[in-house]
Amino acid sequence: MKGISPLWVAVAVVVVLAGAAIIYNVWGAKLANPEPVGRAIYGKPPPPDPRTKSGRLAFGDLDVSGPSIVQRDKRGNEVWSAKTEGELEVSDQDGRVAATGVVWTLTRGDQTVTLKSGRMEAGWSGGDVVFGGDIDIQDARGRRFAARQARFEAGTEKIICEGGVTWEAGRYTAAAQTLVIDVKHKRLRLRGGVTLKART
Amino acid sequence: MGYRRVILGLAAAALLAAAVGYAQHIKKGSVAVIRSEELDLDLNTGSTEMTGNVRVDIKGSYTATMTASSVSVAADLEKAQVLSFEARGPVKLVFDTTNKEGKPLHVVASCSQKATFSEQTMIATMEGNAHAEVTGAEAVVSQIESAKYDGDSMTIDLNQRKIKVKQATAEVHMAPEVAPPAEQGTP
Repeated sequence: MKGISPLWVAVAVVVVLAGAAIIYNVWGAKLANPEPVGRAIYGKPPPPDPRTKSGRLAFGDLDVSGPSIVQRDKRGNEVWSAKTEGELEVSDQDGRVAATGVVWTLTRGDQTVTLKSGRMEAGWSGGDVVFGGDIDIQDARGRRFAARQARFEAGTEKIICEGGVTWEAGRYTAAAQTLVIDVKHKRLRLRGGVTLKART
Repeated sequence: MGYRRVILGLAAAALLAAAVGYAQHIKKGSVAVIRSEELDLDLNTGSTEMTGNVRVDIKGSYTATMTASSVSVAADLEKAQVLSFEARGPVKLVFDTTNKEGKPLHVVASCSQKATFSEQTMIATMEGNAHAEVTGAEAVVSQIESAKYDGDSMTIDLNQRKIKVKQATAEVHMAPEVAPPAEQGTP
């Protein structure tokens, strides 16, 4: 058996080193622990998402960047976004994000709905968003709604407000127990002891 | 026969004057409060559907109250203007106002099926056991004290100033100074 040529040994060493460098660069970066962002309070870090980029964390379908949260669909399109002026808490135990002092925005075509609330809770994997505290909603046409609590149903694209609902729009004011804003079909539904006041 | 026509004509004038006055009042500044169990507004078309014990109270230089099972309203949302409405029965309307001299006018109208009004055509209709009663009618027609219409349906054209009543029965009470006997008839 002939001895191994030093040239082949050198080639093998170069290949091994190059492979090690590639593995380190690709996997090492992914395994690194993410840095906390803004004032967020994190529990155990959730599994890394391949869409994670520098300065942004992804939890399921939620991107968290500083005080901002964006929920995206499977294609990466924005479903809704929120900014918090209070605290942001991500929990991996129940897969939810909670925030206080929230301005939440939903845009569909020419419609933009802005909802301010004392607190908000959403799941990493989409689904409903629940709002508590005093709710103040404004749409692109200047209509304003207030309620004690609300939730956004992602499946139907409806915002359902409950408790002491009021509505102001120009010469109209209204009050009811429940308000459903159907964003997809551009409809408003007031239920329960509806009182509409109009000035002609 | 001719005398009865004159009386019915005066009664129609009283009802028409009340209706015209009502329509003119709607256009002036007033506050309307609408109560219902549900209100559904289509932002694409501006149509509004109110269902469940609908009650409309209008207050201004007059008062008007309408009750119905459900009401559909077509509106220009940008101009905040009601274009037309349809109230489904039983529908009842009560209207009270006074003329310049302070004489009261009281109108009660009702129907069992539906009542409609179009801003574009200025035509109001009542269908199914339509009933209209004007008291204090001398506020608008001096000879008439009160007038009452019953019919299958009633159409009031506010532009043409015409009232059409199908299968009508009319009852007219003249003011005391004229003092003709009260008449009933089916024109």
